[in-house]
Amino acid sequence: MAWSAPMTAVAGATFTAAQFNQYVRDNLNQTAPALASAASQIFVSTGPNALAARVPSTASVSTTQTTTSTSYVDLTTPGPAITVTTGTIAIALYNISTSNSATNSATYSSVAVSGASSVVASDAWSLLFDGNASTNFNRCGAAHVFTGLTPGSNTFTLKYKVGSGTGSFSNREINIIPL
Amino acid sequence: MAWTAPMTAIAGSVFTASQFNTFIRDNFNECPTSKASTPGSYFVTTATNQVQERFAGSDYVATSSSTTSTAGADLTTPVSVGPTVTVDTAVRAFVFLYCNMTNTAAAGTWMSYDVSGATTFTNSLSTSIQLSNIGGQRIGGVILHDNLTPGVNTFTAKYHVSSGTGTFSDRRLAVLPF
Repeated sequence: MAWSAPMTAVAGATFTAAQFNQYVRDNLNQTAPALASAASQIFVSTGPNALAARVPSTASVSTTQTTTSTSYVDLTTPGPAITVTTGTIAIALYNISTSNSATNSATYSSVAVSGASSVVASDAWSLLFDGNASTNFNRCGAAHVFTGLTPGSNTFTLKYKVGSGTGSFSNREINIIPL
Repeated sequence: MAWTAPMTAIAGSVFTASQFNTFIRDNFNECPTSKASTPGSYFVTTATNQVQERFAGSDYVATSSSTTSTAGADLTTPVSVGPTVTVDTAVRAFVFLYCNMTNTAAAGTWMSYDVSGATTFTNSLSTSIQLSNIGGQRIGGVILHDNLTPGVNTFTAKYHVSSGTGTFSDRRLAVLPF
């Protein structure tokens, strides 16, 4: 049952079983301990007086794979990708090791969202390396807060492209904090 | 006392002191409001029906120090350990790494971390940030470490190169435990 704003007791009135069940039992069942179902969950609001447990999640692909595409695509092994239940907001944190066959040529990694929502990968939240010597690998991370998601099951997938040359991508990791 | 699924009251029955203590007192004492002790903490689950207060940790070492080690190790020139963060965790924690890195050669330089305490974990390429550039650049990354042993865990930055001499400064490590 949903949360009910706790009643105000009145001196001399009878506290009934129905009131106990509504204001004590059912409200306690909406608190964090009652909703905790496994370790390492966090709690977020899903609306007024409503909580849900969420699980920060991670996925990775270690294999080094390449692309020459100048628009965002999957590599031979797509992803990594994470499917989680979210509200309207999710935080994506991603790390990739990249290099390019050509000197001073860019490699891009970004995140697309599918499922309940549809968001294409964009330069606006890409992890970009450029201006490096050819075949030199660099690994760092980026973060993006997705807002305006459609609540429900959403899949977050890393996508890749280059400015030119052949981009190599390895130790690809994506982490999602669903809110 | 642990959480107990709230009883269902029955009209006409007596509500005892024991029931109050079990289903109201003890259950409220398991809620975040009761457990909140310090500003800036947050709450996570540690198991079914169990929540615990957590604190993020951060450490910063400004010192510029170098290494020629080709396996993750403390910096040696001058000797400079860390940064180091010790926090109470369950199985997951976000680890934030940031560092300014340069190399005397156009070779790889890495910053990663070891975990000690409840967990024993040795730094790896998949839990690192890396530059292959002579010129110094400051970069960062966030790793979700998801196979910790619950308990008190210490995260210590470690460094290595593929060749040449790597120099590391403005070193920061933060941990957000779950």
